[in-house]
Amino acid sequence: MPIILPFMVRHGEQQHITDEYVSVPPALTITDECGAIWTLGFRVGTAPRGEFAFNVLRNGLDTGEVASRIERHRGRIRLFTAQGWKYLESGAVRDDRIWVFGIGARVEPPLPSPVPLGVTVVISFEQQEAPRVRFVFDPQRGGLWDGRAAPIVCAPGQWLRATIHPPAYASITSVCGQLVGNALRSIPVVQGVAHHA
Amino acid sequence: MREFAVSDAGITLAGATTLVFVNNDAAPAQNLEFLRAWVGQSANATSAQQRVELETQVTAFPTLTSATPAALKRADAVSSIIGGTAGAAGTAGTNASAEGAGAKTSVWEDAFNVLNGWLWVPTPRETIILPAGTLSGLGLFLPVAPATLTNWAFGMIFAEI
Repeated sequence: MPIILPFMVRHGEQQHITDEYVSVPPALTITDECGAIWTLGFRVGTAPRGEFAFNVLRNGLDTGEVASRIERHRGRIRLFTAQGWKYLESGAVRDDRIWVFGIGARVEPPLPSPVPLGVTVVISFEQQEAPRVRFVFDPQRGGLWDGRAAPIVCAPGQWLRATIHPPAYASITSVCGQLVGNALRSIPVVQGVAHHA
Repeated sequence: MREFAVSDAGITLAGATTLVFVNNDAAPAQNLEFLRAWVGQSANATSAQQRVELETQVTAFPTLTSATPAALKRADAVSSIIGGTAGAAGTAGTNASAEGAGAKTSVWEDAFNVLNGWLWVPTPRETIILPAGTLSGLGLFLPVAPATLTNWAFGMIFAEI
């Protein structure tokens, strides 16, 4: 049973929102717009080179993520992990499954292998028109998909790889992925990000 | 390796205070490697900067509230360090009521915003090791009194190596 200490959980109502770019560590906690307390736990995990990484706690509960740093950036929580930065939309963290990637981000490999049984991935967008999104299923099968909120079922044992193509216009700010219909709460939708294309 | 936490929370400080103090056993015994330290408070929403320090102190040690190290791996045997109020060898305590006359030597100085707290996680070559038989203990210390004295939480993690 993991040890939970008082600083890891909320004490009463939210009294402030942590400023942008505050990082844990060296800060102890981050308070987001929902009043949730983010900090690092004691369980050591896979780290980016040259750093330590620990499990990420939200209000004392393990999110299933392992990170070296937690930051509040542009109103969202982001984690520095062995796969790069992961962005978490603060307003949609209730089930710990929604991850947001900046425009032009290239994502691979998105999900652990093998992908759990029956996982459905829903991609949605914040703007009026969707960018082109291409999903390629390994092995040796692929598909091209355009549109909003189209569910894609990932068959057992498949890897899912997504490449985000930014459109010509600049109104798109992010692309969201959501894991639905599966009890594996600790697995985020799209793991890894990484760098701008 | 066995890791232990010495921590406390909801504490009202007296002022500039040693928050945690750990003193290793006399040799021969295990060495203590300090892996983490933290300070935070939940009393108010007023932004303020606060100095914090990791320091060694020789006798006379602080007068403390006894604190028994808690094993992070719950099936582990208890720590060789026991709770104590005098800061003596082989003991740990929190929230000093008197600082003691022993000289303090700063090891690590920092400052933080009280809204965000302070978390020290050293990389491997930055960890602080307190050898068995050393004449000083390691303290987590606020060199100046914080503006708000209530509802502080703090702690240190050490491994017996």
